[in-house]
Amino acid sequence: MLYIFQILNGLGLGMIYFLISVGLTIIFGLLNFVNFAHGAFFMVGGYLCYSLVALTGSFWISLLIGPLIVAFLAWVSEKTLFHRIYHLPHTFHILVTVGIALILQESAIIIWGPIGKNIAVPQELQGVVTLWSFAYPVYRLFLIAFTIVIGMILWFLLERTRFGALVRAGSESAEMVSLLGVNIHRLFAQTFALGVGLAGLAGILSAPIRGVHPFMGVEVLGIAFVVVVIGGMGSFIGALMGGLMVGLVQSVMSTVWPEGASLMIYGAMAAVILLRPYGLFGRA
Amino acid sequence: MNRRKFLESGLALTSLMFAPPLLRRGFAAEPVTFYGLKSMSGAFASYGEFAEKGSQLAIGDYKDLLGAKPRYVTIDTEGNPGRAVRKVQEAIQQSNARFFGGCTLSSTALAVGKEVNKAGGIFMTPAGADEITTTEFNPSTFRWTVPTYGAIHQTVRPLFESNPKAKRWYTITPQYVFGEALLAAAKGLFKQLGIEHVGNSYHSTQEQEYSGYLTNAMAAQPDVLLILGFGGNGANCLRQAANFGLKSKMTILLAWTQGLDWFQSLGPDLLEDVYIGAQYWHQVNTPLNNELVKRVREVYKISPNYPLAGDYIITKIILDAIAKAGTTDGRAVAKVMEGMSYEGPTGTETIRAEDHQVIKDYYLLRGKAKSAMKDPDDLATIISSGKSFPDPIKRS
Amino acid sequence: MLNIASVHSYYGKSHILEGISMTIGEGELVTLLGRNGAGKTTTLRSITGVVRPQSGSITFLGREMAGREIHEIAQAGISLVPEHRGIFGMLSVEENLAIAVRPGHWTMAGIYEFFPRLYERRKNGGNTLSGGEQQMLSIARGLLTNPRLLLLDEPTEGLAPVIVDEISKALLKIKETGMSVLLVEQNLQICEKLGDRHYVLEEGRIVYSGSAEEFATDHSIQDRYLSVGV
Repeated sequence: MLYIFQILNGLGLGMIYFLISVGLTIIFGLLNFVNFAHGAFFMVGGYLCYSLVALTGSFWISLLIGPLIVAFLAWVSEKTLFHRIYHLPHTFHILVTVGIALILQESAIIIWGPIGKNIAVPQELQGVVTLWSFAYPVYRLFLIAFTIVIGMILWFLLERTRFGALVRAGSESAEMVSLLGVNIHRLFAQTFALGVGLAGLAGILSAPIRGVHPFMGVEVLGIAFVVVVIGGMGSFIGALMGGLMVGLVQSVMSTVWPEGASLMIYGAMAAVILLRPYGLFGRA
Repeated sequence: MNRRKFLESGLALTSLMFAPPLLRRGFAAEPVTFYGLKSMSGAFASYGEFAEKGSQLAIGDYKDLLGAKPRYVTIDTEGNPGRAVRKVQEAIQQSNARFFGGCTLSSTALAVGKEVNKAGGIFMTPAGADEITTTEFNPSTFRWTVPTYGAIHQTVRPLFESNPKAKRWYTITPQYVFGEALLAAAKGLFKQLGIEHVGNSYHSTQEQEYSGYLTNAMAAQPDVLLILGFGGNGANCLRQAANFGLKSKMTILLAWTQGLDWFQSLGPDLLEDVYIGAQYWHQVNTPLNNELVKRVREVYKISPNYPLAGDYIITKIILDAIAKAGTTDGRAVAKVMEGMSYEGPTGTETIRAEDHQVIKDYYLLRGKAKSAMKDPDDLATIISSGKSFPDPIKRS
Repeated sequence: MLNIASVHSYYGKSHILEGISMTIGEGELVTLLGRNGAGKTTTLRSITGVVRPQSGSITFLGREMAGREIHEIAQAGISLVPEHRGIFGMLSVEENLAIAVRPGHWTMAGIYEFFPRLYERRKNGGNTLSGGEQQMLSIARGLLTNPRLLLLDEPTEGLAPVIVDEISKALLKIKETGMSVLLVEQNLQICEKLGDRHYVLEEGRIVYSGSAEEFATDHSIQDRYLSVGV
């Protein structure tokens, strides 16, 4: 019985991790760009949620507008800074994006202060659902459902639209896509905005559960990379499976061996890499 | 002008430049300098900000200490023990620093205390680790905060005594030295009071996700959930416990908290009817605290919180002790401080001679409903307070 | 329609094209021959913008192309069927074609008629196709962009003679629609069969330029410029 709830928790957690990681993996897949600022945009999403809720009193408005604002910020960063460094080795990507992440972190501290903030669960989603002797928060069920819907929309976007086909083609050869007359710069910018916007969305969704604080970006970045490594760089299904796997491991471990929950995640990553060096769904 | 004349006038000018300080040294008293160790940057920057305000206020009160206005120098610990210790060493070696106060992190406090002791100075800290006044005791170090024993005894006991039917308690513990110390103290008291410890969940200090531990806790069906994490850990655990509807199923007690800003970031909806342990609360009715609250509201436009009050009184104690000792000799000032009784924010406080621990109250608070709040800071009521300290370790 | 004048192109520090000049007229099929390493692929890359010429000019339909972005040049009406085909292995045949579509004479339906085998395999992944099928797919994709000028880089390389024949027939039909073509090839027979004019590239320079008749009668060309070994 206990395990059912751990699994349910793990799914919810896993879907949040999926949202964060799928953006990262798409960006790596198409742009071949290692984005260490991904976690920072997750944080920006969370703080925007706090401010928009404070401003409008509505979580739903911040859920709608927040990711758009984050996507816009990402689009601006891509156009002004990141697209200039795509051709450089990955180490430069890391240098620049870590710098941006630190700037965002310190800006958050300047604007909102160094101590964390709380966001209330929206009125409509408060309370628990009682199953046998256990209670499960309504908000967490909403989270699972919502992220599943987002996941399906994303899948449709990638697999059934021209944009998605271009992204997938571009991750094989950006040059060839260019040669077909497609403006690859615009495609890159749109994809970057999409990927980062998803991280921002994840930040907003997780805010009522974990609050927001300036270091939440750093914490989530580590998990995101583990998920992407496990799932395979550039793979949508990999981000989904990897995210769920990490979420489930974390959740189940907290019952079986709490101290080792974090350790087991890295252990799982090591095991996957040993067996399949490019991740579960990655390609050489 | 020929070269010799030029050199001579240069020499004369230079010596003139140095003359005033030399003269001053000869005729005036050297001002007492107090070094405030605050985490002005890094993860604990908010704490440092308030602590700094407290020290500034205390220094400002002294127009004259041993013949001159005392000076105050801030050392930014950056929340990093290594860097803090190096800065302290520099201050001791280059500026003859002797009087230090502050340090949020126990690891920093322990390291700094050793350095200050080597130089025969004075260091007083609000850091919480038990070792500071037991195994790591040294003649220079003094501690203002109530350590783990008191934090547990002044929260668990009064809560249990007001509700003796609540026999089943579940603990959620951050897995590191401090958390373990809180848990050990709790277990000891549970045995004394006949409380059934129905389970414990450890979590890492980096933990964000408490759903697993809370589900475990729910399964054990306790009467009281004792949360031993504080700061971000405590906040997330409490938030998620509320999400899971635990507040209506059991009583929740957080044994150790950090200050008013933590309460403010959570808000009354989360804190209502939650029991909270605290080192200080701005509503405490004592002469010094009433005065402090008034002044802090005037000067800084906020209500004082634990970091501010703590570093205020620490600074004041040391300056007062220097005045009483009439000297800046560290060991002599320490002698004055041992056994010293004074009016502090929590009432009459005494520095215990054997281990340099300040004997003061620890508070049990209960969160207030939004409708009951009289002002934005009125987030909790004081349920009880008292002094609980283990006997000092016998030293040869 | 295409005029290349004194173009110098580099690959890193290597000076690959040392001032080449070529023209392609409307409706012509022009071939570019040369040994491996002569600079044929670099020529195509310079035209399509993958490589930016160091100096010289490339004008297409009166507009300067040298220095422009790849997609700009492609949008102007130049389409490349690249060496090694450049198929998107993870996309289906249909998807490979669909992303290339631009308005004009060639449509998806028309392409499927032209290459029936592609229609049969339209739902299959690009990487499940044989070499010959991939080549057809690459050519089909190039046509679907409805270019004014089609560039092909060694389309018969590595393919069995039967398939080479099929491709040769397809290229002839394409030429008959009036499409302007620049064909880079090492296969002499194909060039002789299809080409209106020929160029030979050796070590970054055009060493021969002539019409089909001249090319057919001058048998020394093969020995001089195209045989393997020195």
